[in-house]
Parts: sequence; C-alpha cells; structure tokens
Amino acid sequence: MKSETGFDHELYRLFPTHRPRPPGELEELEKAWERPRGWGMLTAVNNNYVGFAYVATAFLFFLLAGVLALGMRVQLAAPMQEFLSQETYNQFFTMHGTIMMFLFAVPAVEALGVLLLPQMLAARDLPFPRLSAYAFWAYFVGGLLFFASLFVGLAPDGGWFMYPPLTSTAFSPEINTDFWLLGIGFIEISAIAGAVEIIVGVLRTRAPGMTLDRMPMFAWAMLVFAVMIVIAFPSVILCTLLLEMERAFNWPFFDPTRGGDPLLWQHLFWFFGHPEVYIIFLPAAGMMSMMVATVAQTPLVGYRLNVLALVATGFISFGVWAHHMFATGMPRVATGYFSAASMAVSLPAGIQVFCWIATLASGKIRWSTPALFVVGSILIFTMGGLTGVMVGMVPFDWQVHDSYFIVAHLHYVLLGGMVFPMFGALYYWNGMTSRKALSERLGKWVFWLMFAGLHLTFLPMHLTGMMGMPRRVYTYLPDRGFDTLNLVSTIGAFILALGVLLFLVDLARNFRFTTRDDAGNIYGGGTLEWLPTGLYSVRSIPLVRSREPLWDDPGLADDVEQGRYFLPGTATGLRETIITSPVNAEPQYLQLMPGPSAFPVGAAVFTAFFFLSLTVQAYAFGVFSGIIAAACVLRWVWETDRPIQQTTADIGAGITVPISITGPSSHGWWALNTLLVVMGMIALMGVFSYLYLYGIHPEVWIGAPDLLQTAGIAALLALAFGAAWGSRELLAGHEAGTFPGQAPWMLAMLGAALLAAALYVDVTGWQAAGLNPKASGQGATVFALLALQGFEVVTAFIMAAYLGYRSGRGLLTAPTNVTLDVVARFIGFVALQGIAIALLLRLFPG
Amino acid sequence: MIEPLWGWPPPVLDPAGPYAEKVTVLAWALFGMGVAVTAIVAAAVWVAIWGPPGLKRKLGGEKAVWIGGIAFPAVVLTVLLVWGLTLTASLTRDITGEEMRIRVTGEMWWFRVEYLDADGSTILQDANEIHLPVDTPVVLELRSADVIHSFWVPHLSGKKDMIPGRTTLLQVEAREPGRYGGVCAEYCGGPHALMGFVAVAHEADEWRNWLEARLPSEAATAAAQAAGRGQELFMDSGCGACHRVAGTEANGLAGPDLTHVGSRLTLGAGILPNNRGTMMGWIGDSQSIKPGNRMPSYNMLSASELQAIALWLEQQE
Amino acid sequence: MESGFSNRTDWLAATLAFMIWAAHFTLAWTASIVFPDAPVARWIAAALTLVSFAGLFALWRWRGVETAFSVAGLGILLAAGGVAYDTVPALIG
Repeated sequence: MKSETGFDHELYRLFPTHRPRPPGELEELEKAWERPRGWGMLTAVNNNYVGFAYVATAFLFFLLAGVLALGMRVQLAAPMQEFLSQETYNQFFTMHGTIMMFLFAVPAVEALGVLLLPQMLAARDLPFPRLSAYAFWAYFVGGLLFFASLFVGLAPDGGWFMYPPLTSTAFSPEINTDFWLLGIGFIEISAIAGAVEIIVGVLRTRAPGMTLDRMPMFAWAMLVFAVMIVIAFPSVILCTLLLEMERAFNWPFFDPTRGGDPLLWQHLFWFFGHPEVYIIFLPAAGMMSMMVATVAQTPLVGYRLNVLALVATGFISFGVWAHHMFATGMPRVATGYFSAASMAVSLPAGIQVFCWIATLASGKIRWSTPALFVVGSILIFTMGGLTGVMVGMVPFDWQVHDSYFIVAHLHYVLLGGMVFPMFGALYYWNGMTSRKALSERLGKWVFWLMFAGLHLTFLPMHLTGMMGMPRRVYTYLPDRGFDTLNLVSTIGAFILALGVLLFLVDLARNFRFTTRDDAGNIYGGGTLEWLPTGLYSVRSIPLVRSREPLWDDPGLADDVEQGRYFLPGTATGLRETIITSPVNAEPQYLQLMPGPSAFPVGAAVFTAFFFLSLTVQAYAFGVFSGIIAAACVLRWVWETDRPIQQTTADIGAGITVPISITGPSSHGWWALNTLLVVMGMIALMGVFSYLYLYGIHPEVWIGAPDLLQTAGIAALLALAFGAAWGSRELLAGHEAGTFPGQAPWMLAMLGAALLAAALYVDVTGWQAAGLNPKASGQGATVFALLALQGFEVVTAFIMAAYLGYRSGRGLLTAPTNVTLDVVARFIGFVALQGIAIALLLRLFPG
Repeated sequence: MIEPLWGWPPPVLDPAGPYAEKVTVLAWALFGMGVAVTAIVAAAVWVAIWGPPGLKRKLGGEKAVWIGGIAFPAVVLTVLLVWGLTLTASLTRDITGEEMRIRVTGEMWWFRVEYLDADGSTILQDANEIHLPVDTPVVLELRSADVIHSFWVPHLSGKKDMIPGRTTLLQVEAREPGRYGGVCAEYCGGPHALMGFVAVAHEADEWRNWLEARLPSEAATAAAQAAGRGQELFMDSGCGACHRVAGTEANGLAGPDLTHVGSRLTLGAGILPNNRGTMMGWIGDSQSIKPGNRMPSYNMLSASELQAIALWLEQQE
Repeated sequence: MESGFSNRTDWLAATLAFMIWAAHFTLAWTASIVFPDAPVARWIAAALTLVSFAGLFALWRWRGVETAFSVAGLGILLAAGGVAYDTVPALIG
C-alpha cells in the first residue's frame, strides 16, 4: 500500500511486540483515566459515561413521546371522543412528532455513535470529550424543560413542522410556538457539536491500519450522517431564527402582504426535514449491516456497494425535499424534479437491503433477539420504502398527501428503519455496558409483540388514509366509515407498547451498568468494540489488517490486553489517543485529551437556560444566563492549548510521533473547518431566502445604496481579512520559545474591529437607503443577514479579547498556535462571508 | 341519486371523474407493485435463511445485490417515473380559459365559495358546498384568507393547498351526478378536524336550473324569503355583522354567506346534517360542537327564539 | 478482498460524481423556478444534462476507471442515473 503521509509501513511488522510490558504501565494508564468520585460523576467526559447517559436520555424521550402517542390513540379509538380536549390533542401530536424527531431519533443514533464509535475504531475516546459532554448536558436539560411545557399547557401546537402563518404571531399569539422555536434551537447546537466530533473522530482517530476500506460499516454510516447534519441542520437553524424574528420583531419573512412568503418556510424546513429522516436512517442501517454480519456469522456481502449506497443516499436525499410540497402548486417541471430524485433515492436503499439479504444467504443464521430484530427490520423497512416510492409519484401523492396513508408510510420507515434496528442494537451491544446479558426469552416476546403491534397499528392506516381521513385531527365524524380501522390501530398501539414495556422489565431485571466486567461478546461479533476494555478503552491500540479483526486473528484480544500493540500505556501521564491519517490511518501524532470538567456542564445548563428565558420573555435572566454560559465556555477552553515540555512520544515499538501539532493536519483545524461549513450554510440559506423572496415579490424591492459605499465595505472587510492573515504571519516570524510581542493578538483585535466597522457602514447604508426590516421581505432578509454577520462579529471580538488575555499570560506560543489559528481563521472567514453577502445584496437585482 | 358522501369503497379508489380515475389506475398499479416487491423481498429473506444450498449460494453473492438492488429497481423505478410524470402533465393540462371557474377560499375553519363568470366577477356566493355540472371541466381558484388550508375531494381529484398570498388552481371534473365529501387536508390549528365540505355534481340542465334559481336573490332589488320574527331576531342578535343574507341589511363577510343556507346539505362546514334541530343546536352552542370556531355560542337565546331563527334560515334557499 | 468489485477504492471519484449530480440538480431546479412553466427552463435543463454527462465521462477518463464494477465506476454510473432521472421531468409534459 502506498503511504499517505510518508509513514513507513514496514514499521507495522514490529507488532505485536514480544517484550513484557514494564511494571506500573497499566496502573498509570488506569490512573489517567480514573473516573471522578461522587457528585464529580456529573463532570465526567469519558464516552463510556457520556455515551451511556446520552442513550438512556434518548430512550427516555422515546418513552415519553410514546406515551403521548398512546393518549392520542385512545382519543382516536372512537369518533367524537373527549378523552383529550382539542387543545390538548393538538399539543400532544405536535410534541409527539417534535420529541420523536428532535429529542429521540437524531440524539439516539448520535448517542450510540458516542458510545460505540471510539471502541469500534479502537480510539481511547472521541477527539473532543468535553464537547460531547456539553452536547449531552444541553440536550438533557433543555429537552426536559421543553417537555415540561406540556404540564403547564404551553406546549407548541402547530405540528412538528410549524408552518407559518399558523405559527406567526397573528394566529399563534401565545408563547407555545416560541417554546418550539427556541427550545429546539439548542438541540440543533447539540446535534452540530456531535457532528463535528464524529467527522473528526471517524476520519482521524481510527486505529493504525484501519483504512477507509476496513472501517466498520457503522463508522461509514456515521461519517455520512455527520456530514449530512452539517449541511442540513443550518437550514432549520436559519428558518427557526427567521420565524422567531418575525414573531419578536415583526420582520415579514413569511407574511405575503409585505413581500414575504409562507412557502419560504417550507423550502427551508424541508431542505433540512427530508435529509433529517435519512440522517436518522443511515446510522441505523450501518448498525443493521454490522448486526447482520454477526447473526449470519459471515462478513457483510457487498461492503463497498453498501458504502457507495450510503454516500449516494447522503447526496441524493438533498434533492427530494419538495416532495413534501407537491400540493403547493409549484411549477410542473420543478415538481417533477423532486419526484425524479425521490425515485432515484430509493435505489441505494434497495442496494443496502439486498446486501443484507445476500449476507444472510451466504452465512448461517444463528437465531437470537438481535437476529429477530434484523430480519423484522428488513421486512418493515421494505414495506415503508415501497409506500415511499408510491408517494413519490406526484398524482398518487396528490390523493394521499396529508392523510393517514402518510402516517402509515412514515411510521413503517421510521420504525422499520430506525426503531427496530435500535432495539436490535440495544440487545446486541448490551454486553458492552452491562454486567449481565438481557434475557433472550423476554427478548423474543419483546420482538413479536412489537412486530405484531406495529402491523396492527399502522397497516390499517394505509386504508384509513385512502378513505379520506386527514392527518393531525383530534377526532373524526362517525359517518366516515373508519371507526373500526381506528379502533384496530389503537389496539395495535397498545400491543406495541406492551412490547416496549416488556423490554423495560428486561432492562430492570438484567441491565447492570458497568465499565469493566461487562457481559462481553455474547453474539460473536468480529469488530474491535468487542476487545476487552476498561475506562481507557483498549489497553493497547491494535494494528488493523482486515474488516473483522477478531474473526481473522483469534489471538488479538489477548495481545491487545497484554499491551503488545500501540500505546500500551500513557506516554505523558495524561489521557491520550493516536491521531491517524484520514484514508490509510497511518499514525501522525499523539493527541492529549482533557479529563473531567465542570465547565462544559455549566455552559450547557446555562445555554439551555438562556434559550428558555428568551422563550418566556425573562430577558434579564436570559442575559445573565448567556453571560454565564459564555464565561463557562471561555473557562473551559482556557485549559486547552497549553504548551507542554514533552514534544514527542513513543507510541509503541519505539515509533515516535509528535505530541499535538498545529496547522492543517491538526484535529482542531478540521473541527473549525466543519464549523465554518455550518456557518457558511446558514449564510447560504439566508442568501437563498433573499433571492427566493425577490423572485416571488419583486414589487417590494428598493434600490441598493450606492456603489462607493459597497466598495468601502468590501475594502474594510478585505483589510479585516488581511489583519487576520497578518496575525498568523507575524506569529510565524518568531522562533519557538520566544515571546511574540503584542502585535499578533492586536492585529486579530484590529481585524474584529474592522469587521464591526464594515458592518456599521453596511447597516447605516441600508437604513439611509430607506430599507425597513419591518416593512418588506427585502428588509427582513437583508437585516437578518446583517444580524447573522453581527452575531459573528461579536463572537470575533470575544475571541480576540480572549486571545489577548492568553497572550498576556504568555500562552501565545510561537511560531504557530492553535488558539490564534482558530481566531484568525474565524475572523478571516467572517470577512469573506461579509464581502460575499454585501456584494450580492447590493449588486443584485441592481 | 342519493349516495353516502364517505365510506366504502375508499374514495381514493372510487373515482367519480376523469382526474380521479387515472389516479385510481395508478394507485392499483402501485399497490400491486408494492405487494409484489414485498413478496419478492420476503421470499428472498426466506430463501436466504431456510432455502436449499444451491439457491442460497446464488443469493449470497454480490451478483444478487447488482440484480436485486440495482438492475431490477432501476427498471421498475424508471417505468413508474415516466408514467407518473406523464400523468402529472395530463392532470395539469394548460388551462384554456374556457373552463367554468369557482373560487374557493379557505378560512378558519370553513370554505367560502364564489361562482365566477367569464370576466372573473362573482355571480353567486355560497359556503361549504360546491355545485358542478357533469362532464364539464371546472377550474377551482383556491385561496386562503388566513393560514394554509388544503382542498381535497378524493372522489373527484387529488388535493391542492390554499396558501395566503397566492392563488393555486385545481382542475376537477365529475362524470356522474352525486354528492362527494371533501375535507381540509392541511393542519390549520384548532378544529381543523371538523372542516369539511360537499361537492355536488348535477346533470347539465339540472345544474343550470340550480344556478338560475339562485341568481335572482343576488340581485340588488330582491328581498329575503318570509320576513318575520325569525328575521327580526336574526338582525337583533347581530348575526348580520358576520353573515350576509342577500336582500336584507345583513351583509357581514366574516362568516359564511347564508343567502342559500336552507338548501345546503350540511352545517358547520360539512359536519352536521342540515335540519332545524342541528341549526338550533349550532346557533345555540356551536362551541361545544366545534370548539374554537369563530362563531360564539348564542346560549342566551331561548329555545323558541332559536326555533324562529332556524325556521327563517330554513326558508333561505 | 471482494470478488467482482475491483481493488481500487476511489472514493474521490465517487464523491466528485455525486457533486456533479448535485450541481446539475441545483441549477436545473433554479432555472425551473426562475422561469416557471417556460420552455427556456427545459432547454437549460437539457444543456445542463449534456454538460453533466460530459463531466462524468471526463471524470471516468481522468481517474482511469476500468470497469463499472468498481467504486468509481458504479459511483459515476449511479450519478449518471440520477442526472438522467432528473432530466426526465424537463422532457415530459
């Protein structure tokens, strides 16, 4: 194999090593990874703990949303019932959908990633453990507070998709809608934080020798999942912010009387919303691929076909969003494109299903609870996918759109494509976190009750929809003919719930959380997560030579445990993992990882409080929470990027690598790149909104300020970019160990100031030209983009000030420094984004 | 011909016009495809687990994935795509301008109906009921007065959303006389579940008679039917502020037009049969029938007052 | 490692192929809403399709793809299929 980084592959022959390990090496490793005691457990950042808590919380939301569904089904069991009032039902169905999609489905697969990925890749943890902790706590606190809105009658009631104008102030004057807009906002932050972790984790922390071609399918699925989140979530972040600005400040993004358009929301929402369901499905498909190989006791058939299917789905799913809008009267050809892409996107799903079937055929199935869930999922997901093809056909969709047929379709694909695989996964990977195995006997009952319940509940709904029952109805009339069908669905729902209840019984009786003496590899899987582990993950990081290392090398587990591979201890006495190259996983450097800290928890809690204070209009407490959250974040990052004495480390067999590097190869650089893509996508969606509204209501457009002013803004931003670039250059001019002077950070601060100046000219220019954000769609979108820029400018100031403080404390190491890189690149990006936006808004339409 | 508005067979599979017929054919084909592919996949899973070794071997390689997962779906999907797009085009043929036009505006939570002449002016106002002649292409101009609604009468065609700030168009045509139920199919808050209407198709001359019987009352000089205690109570209770009855001082536009309410099949937007009892109940306490609707309950009126108003409205045909 | 699928795993080719599909889709869709119900939108779509096929072909040659039974080959074919599907609406109706 050609070397990707210049690493000599001959060195791999040194492993497994043969000399006995020095005494105390294991103890030192254990000490570095020791868990905090007592209440300190809340500050844990180890993925064993954070991942478990994350999965448990997601499952809790599944149960809560499921109970809401049971309430809904009781209400619908017979016509014109009054079990739930109209208002309560409307809140219930909105919360059921919102919680399932935002607080259960995406976090659950992200949580399984946090829990399983490091072990599957034989990394000691994810690359940014405190970021995972932050993401989890923000989700936990915020999610529970959001759910609590039900108890005070303030839960949102506009449907999980919250279409304006129903959700605009005129028709939803109460703060219920704001609960959704601001409550879900921080969930989105949590998801993006997780996505950054997973991209960098999957691409840079794999065990040496684990080329992309040998990566577990779940890792591939999570990589595509995370990239999709980075592209799709900004759209919903933006439209959520726009609707909140419309409600709070009366900026008419979606008000057609002032140049806005309700369909703008739908485009922005569904550009996120459709990829969202594939974001939910792909990781579960990845888990299916791994479980099916183990239950058939043979490697997955069509590994590369399957990966290609994941990548193809990832791309094409971004081209189908307006199939949720077939009935809105879009131009015919435009409508057709989405139908065509919807047909196309089902093909890769078919590839995956046949890979699974072929795997079952090429092996010999060993029946178990996970095997039942795997086979059941294939059938259910196929049925759901086929009704998906049906509704991808425009004329058919025109009949069944917004009817119970769609309810049937979506539950078949989500239950078959995600929930059933998830239950299979909970049984399958249970042995990694529990001292005892779950019960196979109960497991069979769980499966069959859930399987029967699912069909009994949702199969009749195909018919109910075709009989004319629309969605999102709190009751129906007795003359419609679907009384019996609804009753059957309700009975089915309770059978499904009984299955879930039985699972809870199984958990209560058998699940005992542990991080060391776990039940182990009950089903005989072949991938690395089944190596013996402690809190430090594996004792030594193996050299990977195939896709199922445990099947191909029966001695691997013992060798790893005895420390005969990479990094059998800790080279610096701190927590570490090896950073490897993205394609061939060649070792590049040693990453020092942080330990437990209270600051991510504090930041998360106060972030949640910040958003929720704005919702209930407690602005003073909101400002206070925001300041505390920001302070916690700064205190948290204060501990990062510390110079260390040791510059290289022995990662095993005498191979030495640098400790922490700076520049484009560093994992921090990659994380910032991902964040910049997110920011860029938000701006891009804002620009799309501007152009879209211009297309619909050009009559409200006024002329732009004059060209000279535009040139001035561009010049200021170019100077800002220059200042940022200059600060890095200045630092690079100094030798290591010397104090670089005040100039580098002051240049960064100058860059931030220039950004602010450019923004000031921009805003005042538009105001002078007569643009009013309340008066027109143009005003609203222009000022929204300026507000976005403004938020980023404020962030740039805080970052530059922080940099100055670090410089003052002598932490600005020459010739390169991670913190300076982050600040300078951030400022540079904001400058470039500012130029692009300013030019576009002012030169178009001219 | 009296037939139930809903029920069996399922309206999506029981077309009463050319637009719905073609979709029903597609629906059956899609359903057949779905059952067939599910059976194939189930059979494949069965063979994979319990099949004879020879078959298992064939199924257990990448070739099976290429055939089952790529070639076969590609063929099926291409055929369906071409069919679907062709059908879409034929259901949305360019509008010639010769078609009959009816404007339907979605309101929270009822349907305002206006019959338009060739110039686009309103010749007749109604609510929650649409009358069409058979074998005549009709273009529905769909609008919304507030939030997004959707117009769906499954026996006659697919649905189309009613979006504030826009007019969307839906082409329908009935082949047989009859009464067909419709609903709002986009969540519009509150009692969205109880927002419906009826589409009535007549033979051509019967429809002309129906229209001509109603036009005179629209004329400025017409007077309402049977003025008396009922009309007095109607006016004194302030009903005219929201409801129009042509030929009286009542000309409110916020609520459904009641000029022809006596001949309507339903009340409350498709949810109650229209008779004196339901009319009294609706006026007296519409909030307990359709909670959240924009008409307050007139529970201060006595039974005899309600009866008088209902009697009077019954006469407004 | 696989029977059937050639040994070279060229993820760059597959990713670039799908980016071509994405560009085709985005531009064709934009044209269809900037010029709603106008023939020029169909002409633009047709032109974009030809350019996309040319691009995919050029990609095939540039990366030295030998057979469809490879990551790059199937990736480019799937992307081409996607482009073809996305052209049908511009041709029909």
